[in-house]
Amino acid sequence: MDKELINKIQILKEIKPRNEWVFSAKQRIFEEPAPVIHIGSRISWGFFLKPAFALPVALLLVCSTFLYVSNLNDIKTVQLEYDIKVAQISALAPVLENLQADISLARENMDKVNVGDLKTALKIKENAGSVSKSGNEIISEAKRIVAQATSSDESGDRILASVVDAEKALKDYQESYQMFVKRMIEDAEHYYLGEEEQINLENAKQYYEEGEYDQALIEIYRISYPF
Amino acid sequence: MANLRKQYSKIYDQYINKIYRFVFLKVSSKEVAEDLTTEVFVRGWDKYRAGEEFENIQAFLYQVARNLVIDHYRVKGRDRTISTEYTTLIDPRPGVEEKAIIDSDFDQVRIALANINEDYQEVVVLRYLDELSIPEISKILNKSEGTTRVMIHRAMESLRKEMDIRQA
Repeated sequence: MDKELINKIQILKEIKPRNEWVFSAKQRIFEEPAPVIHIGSRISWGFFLKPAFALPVALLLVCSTFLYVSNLNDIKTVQLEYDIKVAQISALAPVLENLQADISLARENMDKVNVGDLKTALKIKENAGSVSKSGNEIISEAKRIVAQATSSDESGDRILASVVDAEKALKDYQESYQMFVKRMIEDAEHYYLGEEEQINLENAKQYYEEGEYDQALIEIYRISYPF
Repeated sequence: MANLRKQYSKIYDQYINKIYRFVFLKVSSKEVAEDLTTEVFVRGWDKYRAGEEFENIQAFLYQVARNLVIDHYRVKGRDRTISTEYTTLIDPRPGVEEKAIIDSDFDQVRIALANINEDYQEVVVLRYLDELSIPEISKILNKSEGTTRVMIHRAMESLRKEMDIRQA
């Protein structure tokens, strides 16, 4: 009877933490409180807190406020609407310029990383997620503002062209990240690998094929990083 | 320092699942269990790298986990009682949604365990799930071995009754 009960209790061994959490928690535990130097402090901050992105975000907020004001019927005049449109369009230009500058910087930093430098590679992974997410948010917000605030004037067309450029820069960045992960995998293929490490490598390739580049990088990291 | 890291890394790998499970069964929340478990190992690492010698690292980790759970409930003023409905809602097994397997034994034992006295729950988990020895459990609970044996016996009785109620 006791044995039967004990067997049932042991079913609870199925309770396991998420692999990704186990891995990231381990990293956090061993993390030294030293400043990040490999890829520049700008990239390692919270994305929206970076100086370059704080400005775009602030400007977008300003643009949004203009839009809100423009919808208030009691202050709506032709002249005011015109002024608001001009202000919105003017404000978008530096937003998109800064976005492109930051994406370029992130890409340059990524290109500088040595293939064997796995610790920095992981930081690149973290930043890649932030860059993509924030970049997409800024681009879609910019598109929304352009769609609402402009008709078919020249300044609107110029901003739309900038949006397209920013989208391209972001796409290029994401492709670079993909190539970066590919390089890491190719490099790992030259290691002398044990049985478990070989499994990590196969997992990494599989994740890569599925477009799960972050996961692929984590698998590569598991092969080599000497905790 | 690198050597200490390597040693503690092995300790981490060895106990992370056990400590997580121990905490999870007490808090019934993945997020809280993850936070508290991380804190357990952070505290362990702080002491380990400071050169503290451990008589039994496993017992130390469980003790820290136990204290953190107590603090968690005390500081936040949370109710320790776990309802049957709540425990059935959260299934911590990875990929379980995809498998869509209804495992009645798993649910039964989990709910029964959640409904017995907190101290009994603890000794059942330590003894039969984590398979700790009586001396180790005594150390974690800060009780004599005799008292621990009695507790385990009563805990199993209590769990069996709870299971019977659910099966009836």
